[in-house]
Amino acid sequence: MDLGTSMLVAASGMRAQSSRMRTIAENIANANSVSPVPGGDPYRRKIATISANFDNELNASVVESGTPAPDMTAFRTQYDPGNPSADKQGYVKLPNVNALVEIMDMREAQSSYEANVNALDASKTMLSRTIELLTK
Amino acid sequence: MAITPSAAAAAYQAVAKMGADSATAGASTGATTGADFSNFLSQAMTDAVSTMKSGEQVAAQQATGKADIVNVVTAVNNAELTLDTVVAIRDKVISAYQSIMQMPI
Repeated sequence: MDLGTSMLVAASGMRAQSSRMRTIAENIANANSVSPVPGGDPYRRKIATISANFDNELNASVVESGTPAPDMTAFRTQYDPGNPSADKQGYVKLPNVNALVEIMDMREAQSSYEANVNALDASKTMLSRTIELLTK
Repeated sequence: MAITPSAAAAAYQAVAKMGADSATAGASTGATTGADFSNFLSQAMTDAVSTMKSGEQVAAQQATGKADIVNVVTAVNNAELTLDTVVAIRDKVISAYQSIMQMPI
């Protein structure tokens, strides 16, 4: 059942893209989350990890999303002595989230998801059309 | 292939009965002739109904927030395609039996 397999592979791609989208949403939502304690670390950006995994049962490579990896780039700092999260020098650490990067990632996840939906739809149409041959 | 009209009629009856109680996945057939096809159809119907049931289960889980919407789509798609196939085969074979029964003897 090659067409059935392609439907399941496309579905695994959709699942991977939705988990990626969840990570991006977390990043965007926490773009301004600072540390609850003075001088502490704010929210650290997460990177969605997606890898190919050979499924022996399906005999095809499916997509698997792993646990999100932390982005180790430096935090932004802002001089804001009145902020409760500020350290002794008056600097507040802000998350290393760049809204523009997140929006680009989001667009990419959206397009990939759509591509998988189209692949699933095409496989289903091919199967249905074949079954229709029986009813003629 | 030797198909007598009586055998065809019996098999057709078995098939018609199968179609009538397919919703409950009834597996018993009174047919002694055409049993192979009856068995096949019974098996296929049971399979189709069980895939439909699993589709419904996943949909119910999704409604309570326990399953992914993608799983619902694949499960329901599978159920739909399985049922379509079984129904198409049943219709095709029934029309074949009808042609045999209408044969002037």
